[in-house]
Amino acid sequence: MEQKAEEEISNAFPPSSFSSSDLKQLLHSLPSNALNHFFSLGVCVRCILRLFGIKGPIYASIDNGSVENPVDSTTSNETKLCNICLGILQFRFYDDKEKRIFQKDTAYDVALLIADMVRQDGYQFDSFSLEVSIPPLILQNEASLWSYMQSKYGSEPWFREKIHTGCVSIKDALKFSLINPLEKLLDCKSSLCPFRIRLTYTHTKASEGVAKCSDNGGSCKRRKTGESDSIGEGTLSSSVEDESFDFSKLFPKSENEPCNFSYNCSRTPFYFGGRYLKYSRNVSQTRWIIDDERMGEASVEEIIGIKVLQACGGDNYKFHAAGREDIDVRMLGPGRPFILEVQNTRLVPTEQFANDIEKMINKEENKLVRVNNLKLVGSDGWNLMREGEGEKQKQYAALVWTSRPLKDEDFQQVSSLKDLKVAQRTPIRVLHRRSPLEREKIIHWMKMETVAGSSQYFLLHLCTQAGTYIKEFVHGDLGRTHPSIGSILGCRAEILQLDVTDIKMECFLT
Amino acid sequence: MKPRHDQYVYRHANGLCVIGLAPSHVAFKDEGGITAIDFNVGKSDRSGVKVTGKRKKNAQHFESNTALCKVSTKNDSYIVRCCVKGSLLEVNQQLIKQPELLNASADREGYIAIIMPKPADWLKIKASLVSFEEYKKLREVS
Repeated sequence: MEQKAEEEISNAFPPSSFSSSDLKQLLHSLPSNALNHFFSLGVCVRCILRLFGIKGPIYASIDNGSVENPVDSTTSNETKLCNICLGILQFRFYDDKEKRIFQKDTAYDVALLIADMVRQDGYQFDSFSLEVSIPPLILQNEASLWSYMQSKYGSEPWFREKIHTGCVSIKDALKFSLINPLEKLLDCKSSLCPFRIRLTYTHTKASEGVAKCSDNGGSCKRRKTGESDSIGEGTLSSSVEDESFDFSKLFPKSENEPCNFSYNCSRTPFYFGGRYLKYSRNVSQTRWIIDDERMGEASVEEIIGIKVLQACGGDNYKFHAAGREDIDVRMLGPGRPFILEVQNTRLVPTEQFANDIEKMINKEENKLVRVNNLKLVGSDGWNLMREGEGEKQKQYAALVWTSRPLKDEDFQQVSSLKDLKVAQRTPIRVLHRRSPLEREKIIHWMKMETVAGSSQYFLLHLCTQAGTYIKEFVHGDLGRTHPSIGSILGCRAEILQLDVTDIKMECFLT
Repeated sequence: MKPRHDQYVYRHANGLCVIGLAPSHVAFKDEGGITAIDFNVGKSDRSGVKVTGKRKKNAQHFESNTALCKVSTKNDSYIVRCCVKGSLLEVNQQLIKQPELLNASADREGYIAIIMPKPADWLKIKASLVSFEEYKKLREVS
């Protein structure tokens, strides 16, 4: 519904100026009994227009200073706070930062404030999406008024026509008011896009209102998820319909205060996907700090994240990888898939941008980390990475020492084992933070390679199921992983170095 | 602790302690070495407890002098104690079927139990334990 309203605003009417006589004419065309009644109840002019289902740029064009009461052409309701929208559509609000009440005459004046804020933060954008948040109390007022209209004017023919289109919601009326001026000031069209301008209205009396009518609160929330914002016959809660209410009782005029108004802008997160390689045995995957001291000299997530963050002016990043390796284990081969989420970027990243950042990271002198195939990914990136994470095979190369010299028969014995089942109890080195379980894992194949000049050191290449603890498979973890290399060869075995040589996943390979 | 009932406490960087018999334990001097082990001492069978989850639910809390198990040789039996106050995470079930592991490699596959002490409890007990260097001197082992 949001998209539909925005399209209507942008496409239907070209921005044109309505004069105050145009407004007078429009008001005179409305059913006068209802019109006068609403005016006497303290409803502002824009609320009246929207109650009669009027849409379009007239909302933006009205100047509060020149609105006249249609009945007696004297004082308008714009000097008093509207009982329905509590000033939202009258551009009256309390600003927390300035700590005072503002009263703007035109939508353009409000748009100026918003545009200034947007420009201050240095956002790059070619479109914006306006989001409005209104206190539940006012949404209740809307619903109550509509219900009241139904009961009072339900039998009139003009109402019967209206009921199909319903009245325009306060949110939509506010958007009708502000979108055209904002488009002019920001020099671009509004649309559904990652750059969001959020207007938030809150009210101190809001909590009371919610307690009164919880049903209505529920239906208000449902409307937020994109359904029709206009109040039609189907969306009212039964409790409001049943009440026989006295309109004036529900809205005590003297106690009303304007809403608190705050506004900000932000961008929805961008996601970069790629593969990383780790050449250092002293770099952890994620930032690792114990007792205020960093473990290792750097982390993969910071090396990549900080560069990307700085380059596109974001607020923060979140690093998500498909699995992890220890700080002293190198990540080689095609690399490990990862997704970097960057929040609230000031610039808009492009494919070229991703290429440039990749080059920048790889140019670093210390060559701790390398990034391959960095590119922007959409929501499908997650599925690609998470899909089959548990089943994917990983390949390793380990430098192993044995307590006795090895012979050809040993090499052949190890190579002959295919899809070896291994039972691993939770390794002691992680037992403090993981559940004590026995996990069965599969070693798909193994191959041993001699190391020149030694019969007790060799390279073990192996391909295992995801989740296998390789170090424990080599040394046996006091017998808690069995079989182990040591138990297979009938001697003691220790692992000196480990590299991940392949992660057999299909994502982020180009 | 009785004299010559030497045990080791191997403490990992993550705080977990592996408990076992030191090579100079008097049980190894008996002919034939250790022939059996029994975890059913004190008020419960230590080998029966199932510890689950990251929070190590159901783990029994023991004092440093609580009996952990009993090892038997041909003629004698000896009580093995926890040495460290903490939660018992696991006992080495393999020993029940293969008590000879104690004779062959008491410091590795023949470990007896894993205990998780609270950091404060570890600091308290640390002082009463002997470092590997000191141990070697005391027992004149090279």
